[in-house]
Amino acid sequence: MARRITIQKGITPAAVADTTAFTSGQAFAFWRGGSATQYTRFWEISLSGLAASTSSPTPMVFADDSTISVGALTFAAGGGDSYMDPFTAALAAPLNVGNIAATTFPQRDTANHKMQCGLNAFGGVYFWRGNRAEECPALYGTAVSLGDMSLSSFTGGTPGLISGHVIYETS
Amino acid sequence: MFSKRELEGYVLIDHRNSPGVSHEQAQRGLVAVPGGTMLESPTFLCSRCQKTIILNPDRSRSRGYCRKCDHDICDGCSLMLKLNHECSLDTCYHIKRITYT
Repeated sequence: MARRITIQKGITPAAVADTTAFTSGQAFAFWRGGSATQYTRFWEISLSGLAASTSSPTPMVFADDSTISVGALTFAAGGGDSYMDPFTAALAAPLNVGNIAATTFPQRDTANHKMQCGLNAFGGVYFWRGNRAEECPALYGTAVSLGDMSLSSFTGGTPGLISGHVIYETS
Repeated sequence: MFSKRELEGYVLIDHRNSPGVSHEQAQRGLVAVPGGTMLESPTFLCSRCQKTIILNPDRSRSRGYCRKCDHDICDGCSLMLKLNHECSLDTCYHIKRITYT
């Protein structure tokens, strides 16, 4: 078991429709399995609004991706991914995490939206935590709609500046 | 003694110091929590579609339930179950976990 945390210090997510390719820095993050049989559970999602002065309904969606990202994933400034426990053994094939894809960006699936994580970025807070392993959304392998997930803004709102973290565990 | 409530997750959407999200603004990705209010509620994972469902504290209707996997399911999957689409190896998350892990 290796519990890790993905963070964003401040990002204004771009509104992107389903089955539309993201571009650099538009999403909070993408997660892609490190191997064909790797299993990862998402334990916690926390988002805090940082918008300074204007009401900013920010429709965040945690969803499977129907197009898998290709190439190394990295973060735009402000994003990062790290272990939670410094004594965690390094995974042989760690999850690929980032919001910039070297070759092909993922596309959010239309059907498999796993969680609504929206908030008003002007003063709002969103927090979710799973209580049991079998109750956590999971990512398996590297196949379409199973092995690539994203946390991003859906269309229809006026996304504002947010910060946050996502805790996940690979087994 | 085991209680199904042990399975519940927790969600907090705090708009006490925010204009919030009105019922008119609520849409995919946005739950209606108006300004000056807060939603604190349990969640569960639908065993069929694996979506995380926020339990509406004001709901009085019963929830869908799959006897095969002994788990609550969401309204959409509850309808499918009534139309004889039972949980199976291809759909039930809990059965998948036993198979794949």
